[in-house]
Amino acid sequence: MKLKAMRAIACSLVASAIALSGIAIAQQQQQQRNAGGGQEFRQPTPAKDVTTTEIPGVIAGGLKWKLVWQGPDNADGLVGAADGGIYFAQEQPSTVGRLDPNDKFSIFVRDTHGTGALGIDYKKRLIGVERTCSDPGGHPDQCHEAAELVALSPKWEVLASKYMDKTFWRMGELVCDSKGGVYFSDDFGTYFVNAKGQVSLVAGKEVRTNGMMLSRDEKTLYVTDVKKLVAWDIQPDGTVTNKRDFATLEAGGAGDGMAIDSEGRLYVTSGDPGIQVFSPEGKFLGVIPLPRSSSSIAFAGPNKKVLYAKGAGMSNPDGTEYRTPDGVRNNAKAIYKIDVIAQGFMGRPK
Amino acid sequence: MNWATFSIIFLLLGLPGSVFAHHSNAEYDRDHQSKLKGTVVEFKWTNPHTQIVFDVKGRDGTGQRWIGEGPSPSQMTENGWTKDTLKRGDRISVVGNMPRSGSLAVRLRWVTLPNGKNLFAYNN
Repeated sequence: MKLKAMRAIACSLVASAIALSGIAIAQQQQQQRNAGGGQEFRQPTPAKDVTTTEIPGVIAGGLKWKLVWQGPDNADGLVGAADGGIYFAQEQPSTVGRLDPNDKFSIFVRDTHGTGALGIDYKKRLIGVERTCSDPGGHPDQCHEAAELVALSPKWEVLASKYMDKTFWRMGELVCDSKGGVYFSDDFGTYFVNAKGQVSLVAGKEVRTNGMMLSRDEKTLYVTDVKKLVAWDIQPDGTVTNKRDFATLEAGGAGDGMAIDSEGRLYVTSGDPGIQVFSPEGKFLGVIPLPRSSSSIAFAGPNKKVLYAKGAGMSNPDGTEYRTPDGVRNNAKAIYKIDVIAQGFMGRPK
Repeated sequence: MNWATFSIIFLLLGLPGSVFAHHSNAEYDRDHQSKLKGTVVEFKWTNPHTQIVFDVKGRDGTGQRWIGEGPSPSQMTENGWTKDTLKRGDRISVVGNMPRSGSLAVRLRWVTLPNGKNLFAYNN
């Protein structure tokens, strides 16, 4: 009996040791995943079949988007080009892609240091906000290259590299005014740089800026803050005052890339709900659904009467959804376009 | 402008504008829900909000015309609705939030269709 009991105890101890070592290995693997590549990433939602419902003066009802580009290597920060095409940033391959007026794709700029969003400034330069090696799907813990606001084309130039001796990290979005100033954001705040290169702070992390836009007269700055839009008055020197809530994303989602039309209406991408449209006074006018989760938008095409929008995910040639293995971030994106009644604001490229 | 045209305009101005007025979500009591049963007069599949205009018979037999307000068509589509889900004459019941003003409007949470199926409007 004594021997039997001792055997039972020994077996229990061995089983416990095996179980504990298994738990330790699993924890170690999880830590390795969380340390950089190998994180848990959700796959994009599959494409939906959507049809527009009329928003008077904005878009007719019964329309469908046309898919003009898709690829596995990201697309973000769309901006309309002067010829009616668009540019878009591709962070991971460090390129700027271009669709010409016939939606033919080409690489426009290479070696962009992970530029993630684009604008066009008063000198007609292509401006970018860098994300360098900070991609959450890569190894951000091993990334030590600070982000900069840069002119990418026709000639590389750094426009802003720090605020108060602090460098930038993973820049998000930008909008250029018509006087040489740029509003831009990174993981830690929202900023303004004037034509002389002087950087000032618009807001800290209390505003989770993702999309931003200027009013037609450039006297108001709009910024998304998750489920709402926030606005500031812009002073003659480009600094801001009078922060206020401007609108709520009534269709839900989280605010991202924005556009403005010739009537001052704001178009706000918001993920799965689509593109939410607001009057210049902040009144919710309706939703333009997109087949995929929306996050960037730009007026382009002849006379800026075409809306281009980017959504998450892409389809394989056989029509199935493109998927990546567990732990590998799916950066596939699709760009669509649709004719609109509205016209993009003609006073600035964006 | 002739008198006939002026009379029509005057008459239209006199109609209760609240029949098709849009209430902001903040104007509804989101902490409480009520249930109503009625007959569809019109189903408006419009941006920014879909609307169900329906007649409710009160206990005293008098009728009241209510406006049920839902989210945008794209959100309704996510919840299984189409522009043809309801038609005039359909008998429905609705559950939703009442406005603080006491007007005959309801922020739709879900609607029970004539076939007994429930469809959500606002998800929360």
